[in-house]
Amino acid sequence: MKESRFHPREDQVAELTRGQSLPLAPLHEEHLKCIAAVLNRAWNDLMAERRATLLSGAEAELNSLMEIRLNALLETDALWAMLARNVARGKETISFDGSHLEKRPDLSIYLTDRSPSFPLVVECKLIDIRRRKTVELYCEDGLLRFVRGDYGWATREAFMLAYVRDNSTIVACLRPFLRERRMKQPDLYLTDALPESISGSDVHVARSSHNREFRYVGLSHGPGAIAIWHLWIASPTQ
Amino acid sequence: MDVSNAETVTSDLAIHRPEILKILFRGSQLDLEAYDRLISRRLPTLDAYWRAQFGTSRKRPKFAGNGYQKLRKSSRVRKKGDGRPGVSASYLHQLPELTPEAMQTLLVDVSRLPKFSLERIHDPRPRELFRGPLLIVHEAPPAQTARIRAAVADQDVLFSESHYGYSANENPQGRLLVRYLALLLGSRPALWHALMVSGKFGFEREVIEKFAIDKIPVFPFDDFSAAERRKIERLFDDLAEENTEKAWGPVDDWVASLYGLRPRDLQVIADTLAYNLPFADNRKQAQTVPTAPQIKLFCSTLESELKPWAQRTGKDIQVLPVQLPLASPWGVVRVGHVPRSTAREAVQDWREIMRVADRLAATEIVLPDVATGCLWLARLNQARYWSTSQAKLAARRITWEQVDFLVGLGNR
Repeated sequence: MKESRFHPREDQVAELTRGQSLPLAPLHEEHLKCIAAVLNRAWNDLMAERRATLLSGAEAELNSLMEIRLNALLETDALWAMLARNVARGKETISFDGSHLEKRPDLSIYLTDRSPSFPLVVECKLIDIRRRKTVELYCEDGLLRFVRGDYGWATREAFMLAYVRDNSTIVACLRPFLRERRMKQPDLYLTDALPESISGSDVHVARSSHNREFRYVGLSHGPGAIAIWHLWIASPTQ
Repeated sequence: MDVSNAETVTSDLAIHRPEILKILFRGSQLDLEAYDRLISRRLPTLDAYWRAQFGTSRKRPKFAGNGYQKLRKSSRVRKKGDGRPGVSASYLHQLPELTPEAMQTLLVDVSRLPKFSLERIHDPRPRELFRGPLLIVHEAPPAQTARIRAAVADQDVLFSESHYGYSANENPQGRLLVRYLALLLGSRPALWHALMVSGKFGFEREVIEKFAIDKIPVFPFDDFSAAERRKIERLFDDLAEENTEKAWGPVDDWVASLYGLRPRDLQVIADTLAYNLPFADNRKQAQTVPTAPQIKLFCSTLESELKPWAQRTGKDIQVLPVQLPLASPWGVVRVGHVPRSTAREAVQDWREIMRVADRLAATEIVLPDVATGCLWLARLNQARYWSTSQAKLAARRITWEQVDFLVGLGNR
């Protein structure tokens, strides 16, 4: 019988993480607030010039515009340039045990203080109930990837960016959805803390915490919980 | 630990991008970022461009190569030769021969060159290599200019093995092409690129091997508009008339723009070439005590880099040099909010802190001072630690490692 191409690859993980202490040290909340503000600014800048695409384009189109704009902002936003080297879309990465070699998070932010092997991952999702882009999809096709160790398994934080085209909000949709799932057994999302607004942030961003149960390959411990920063950007009424 | 050489390179990175080791050896994280910006342009190398234009012969690019070698003791006697070591050089006789003085200008005045008359040379070199219009590159960049020495000869010229030549005789636009390449290779970004990627230059040798010259990225000449070609003529003529640093300035800016580099990248390149070239003069300059204007520039750069953080807290930030009460190999600056009073704040423990730092062979001390609400930054009193690039790197480090201090600025 042919062997599945999805099998753990210890050598891949060992090569990637050699000399690293996993999980990596957490990022400071202040840095993450700044990054959230820049993501928000990139969107607002785009809205001024690419409104039509932003209001009707596919997720990939939006991600592409965000990547370009975030890189362009490195030229003009001194604070952003201090934190990030560049942003890449769909950069390939491996899963926590090397089973998958071609995982492609939507956006990877390469930080100036961190090895390029471990970017800050931003997974992006459209929220539009009319097109069946629901909060459930946001969690199943997005959040779950962090919990399973497909994305961001070496780090302790990641972003989820929602392009909201209906009236959905974190408080009205995401929080109740995760609360309800937490009451079921098993809770797929292993929610440790429901989304809470980040105080003192310039933008509407909330943080949830999710346990991760996988173990690092060749090590006796796992990564612990991951903090997911949810940034939901509402599109203006069309 | 030298703060200017304390980057972490993962094994994964070293495997996939081995050039990083050399880049961080001679440069810094800022150089690596500029290099990444440059290679993201996916420009062809000089070698690839030349091959595409002129073709190859025996797997080597045509009309390009080292100059002739003089007869030496090791020159062999050829089986089908005349029974004497080396080869006859008569086919090169009467060619004007390049002199070191002639390479001081960008356009070689062939009429002032002596005629070549050696009887024999070590190995034959193709006659086509010496046909004008020619780009000639000296293998050893002069320490005082921090530029690859390149020149153009519109007529045939012979050059020795210390030079690399590129004859554009077969190209209808050859005259302008070699002028363009002379500007490009003579620019600061070109020497910086060679320093970053050469396996020999800046590692074990002070000369640049042809391989490193050939790896320099080239914006395709054919893609230039008529206006840009006129610009090449103008820039070249200005430099041919007066080969000064002032005249090179616009060339550096122009090449940087072709490479997709930013003005701040050019500053990084200037700092790296000033302090990290492998020449004795540069090493000496790197170790000298920084001047007052250098320290002032360091402070103003650090201040402007940190300003966005201060603005988040609604306060101003100020970076000021500190006069130490004792003779010291360290220089200190104070980073903090603008003081309300003129009373001088001071750290009493400097002698002990610096004693420990010296024992650890550290080159930087960062000390957040809760009592005075500022942060003391001490660095070895050598010019290489007080450049603009170093100020930017220090600001970046403070941003990542002292964020509580930066956020707390608003509390005072």
